[in-house]
Amino acid sequence: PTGCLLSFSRTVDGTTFTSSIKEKTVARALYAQARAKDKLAGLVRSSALDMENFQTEVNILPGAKVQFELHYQEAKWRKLGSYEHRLHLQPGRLARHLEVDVWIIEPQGIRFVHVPDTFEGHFDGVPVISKGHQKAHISFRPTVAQQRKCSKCSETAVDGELVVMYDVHREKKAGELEVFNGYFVHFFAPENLHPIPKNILFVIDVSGSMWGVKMKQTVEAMKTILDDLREEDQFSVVDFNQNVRTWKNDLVSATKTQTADAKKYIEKIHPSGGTNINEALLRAIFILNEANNLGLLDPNSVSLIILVSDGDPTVGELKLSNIQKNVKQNIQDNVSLFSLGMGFDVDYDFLKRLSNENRGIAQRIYGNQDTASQLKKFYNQVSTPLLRNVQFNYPHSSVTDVTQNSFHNYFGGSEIVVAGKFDPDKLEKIQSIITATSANTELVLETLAQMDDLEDFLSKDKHADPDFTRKLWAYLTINQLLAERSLAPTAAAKKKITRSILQMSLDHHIVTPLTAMVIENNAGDERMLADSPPPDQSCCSGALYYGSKVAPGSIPSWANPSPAPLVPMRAEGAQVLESTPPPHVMR
Amino acid sequence: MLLSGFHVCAAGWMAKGRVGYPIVKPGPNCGFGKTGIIDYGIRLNRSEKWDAYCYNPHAKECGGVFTEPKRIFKSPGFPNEYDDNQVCYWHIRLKYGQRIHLRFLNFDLEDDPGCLSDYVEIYDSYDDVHGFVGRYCGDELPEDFFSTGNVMTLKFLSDASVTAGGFQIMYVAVDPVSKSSQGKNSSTTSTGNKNFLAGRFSHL
Repeated sequence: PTGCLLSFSRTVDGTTFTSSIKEKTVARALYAQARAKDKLAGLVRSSALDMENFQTEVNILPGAKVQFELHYQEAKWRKLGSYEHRLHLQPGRLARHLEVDVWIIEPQGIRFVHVPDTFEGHFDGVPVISKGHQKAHISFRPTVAQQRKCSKCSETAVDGELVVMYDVHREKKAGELEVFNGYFVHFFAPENLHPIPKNILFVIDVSGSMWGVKMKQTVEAMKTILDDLREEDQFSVVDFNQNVRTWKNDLVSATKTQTADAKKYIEKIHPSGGTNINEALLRAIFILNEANNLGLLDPNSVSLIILVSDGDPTVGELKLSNIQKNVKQNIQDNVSLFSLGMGFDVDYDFLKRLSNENRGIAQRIYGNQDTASQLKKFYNQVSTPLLRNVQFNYPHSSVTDVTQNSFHNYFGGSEIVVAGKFDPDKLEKIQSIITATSANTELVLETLAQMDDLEDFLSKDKHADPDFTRKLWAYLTINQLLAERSLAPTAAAKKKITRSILQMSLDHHIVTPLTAMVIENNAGDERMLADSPPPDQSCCSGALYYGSKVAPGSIPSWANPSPAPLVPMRAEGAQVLESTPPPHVMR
Repeated sequence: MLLSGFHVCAAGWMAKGRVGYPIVKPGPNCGFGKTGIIDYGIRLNRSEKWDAYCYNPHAKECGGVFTEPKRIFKSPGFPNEYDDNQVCYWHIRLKYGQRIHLRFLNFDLEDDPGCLSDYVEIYDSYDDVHGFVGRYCGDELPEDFFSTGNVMTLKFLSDASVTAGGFQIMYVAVDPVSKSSQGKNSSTTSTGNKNFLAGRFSHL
């Protein structure tokens, strides 16, 4: 699983082992004690390919019964219009009873559930989906005969991932505000908006190491990406090895003729030579800045740079920290830089830092025959900007500890999640005001939510976790603190953040880099230790957004929200306001 | 031009009056289907017009691809303190069958619980995705490490503040052992699990 481990327990012939979260040093001491007395079994956790593995070993007598329970929580980020749950199934042998049950509980209502074929048709028709309005159940129970790779084989065909995809209904543009027990989570994923025109520069590494499959796949992906540009979009292509070339020195409208010409240009590329990332990025930034200075960009457009590279710099500026500095100094603060690191031996952490400090994210592309579709999939996530300058405000003063609530862009198919705390004694309901700029207007979206509905709904289902608002808030906050920490300017600032992270991990029972989980039996004489993998230093791995924080009550003056009503209102009655900005708003 | 991946289909002046070009992927149009440095040899007429190649292995502040059987590499600036915001990747690629013996000679990084600030990570694989071995910080010398295969990846990252003395790391190729002594050597890796928890961070 990916996400935070919450608890682990196992029962060996009636003896139950349960877990608790301890500060790392304390956990280590307990573990060392047990090790000294030779009374332990290890639980080891390691990370590979964005996935965390748990391993546990246990010695049992023949015929003994062992039961393992692993509870973990994972934030689901909506991508390309759906949530995806992946379950790794590798039993390694035929299993007499192999049962997988997935329950989905969504207060907003489930729009669709889909189980794509991930076993090459072998389990066609085996997953059974039953879908109601707010709940769905997926059951995967292959019989021993069905598990066999072939009718006489003893190997199992269950060796891969079971994937469940779904999405929820979104009637309300202002998003869904889910409130429970002093915590709220705001899910925001409006659809049916006009795409905002984009100014996009593709910066493609054509150095020698791109030779072969990587380049072929990049060309293939670029051809479909160029076809998908909208006529309102402006674009150009920068390709680089030790030299930097451009298809066009200026941004050009994405008409059929222009994209056809760009495709021809890309097809003719023969990779060779070194890698001058610094020069290439500065050229792309220069093209955007020039266009902006000359007034050639639609004031209501979104500017993106997409860097595709498989290597570290070998020509020109080689100091990675200098390249970072150069890019940051020259790039305008409304441009987002996304990086795609091709293959395994790319200096990926460099690309990640480069993107994260310039309003974008980086993604690793695992170089193989599938490269083109990975590239295309990533591009699709940012191909449809629907909103700019999205800001979430919660005007009531008893709302505190709001997570990142200001975002440069919102892209169609994704979702922005903001969470916070409030005092349930002072506040019966939460008001939110979202301000954003869409393709043709300034938007003010208001919603109100109160807690009773959700509590009622979730408490009725044994598979639901009514406390998920608190846990999701804690998870988001810890991730954001980790990201803040890596930018902290002094040792003292770091220490302070470390203390907050540690306190939150202990309070909310989350294994973080500062904590570990101790698992012991009731008598306390047998112990195991579960460690967390090294953290992803960027915020919210898996999320598309790199936001920032603004005071949650700081609503732009033009937004002019309606005063919080004194009479409690039902969440269903939430109003959506759309307004054009008053004349004093600069556009 | 020793850097793996440097592939240029254009001949140029190299050191000592030779002309040639580096080919990584063989192809019919360039390099006559061969790989490596396609060498035209020493040119008698030094006024011939070719491209030029110069490779300065010291231009990069840190990181690189190492194929030699033995080498010492350092944090940027060592023995001086390293800077903030560093990213260095070292890829060790030895001959098939060889293993890598890694030894820390000096080690001093910003210390913190969980090594969230500055750290060195070792991966027992071709990349920094698979085979995570450990993350290290502080000033305690990490234990020696033996790779299971002929490749290893190390990275060093520093964050936006607080630096320290840095490190020197040495590696030596371990040639494949004969069958008779194999039992002795393989125990080094099989105890890996036990060392895993202890060796992961500077603090126990």
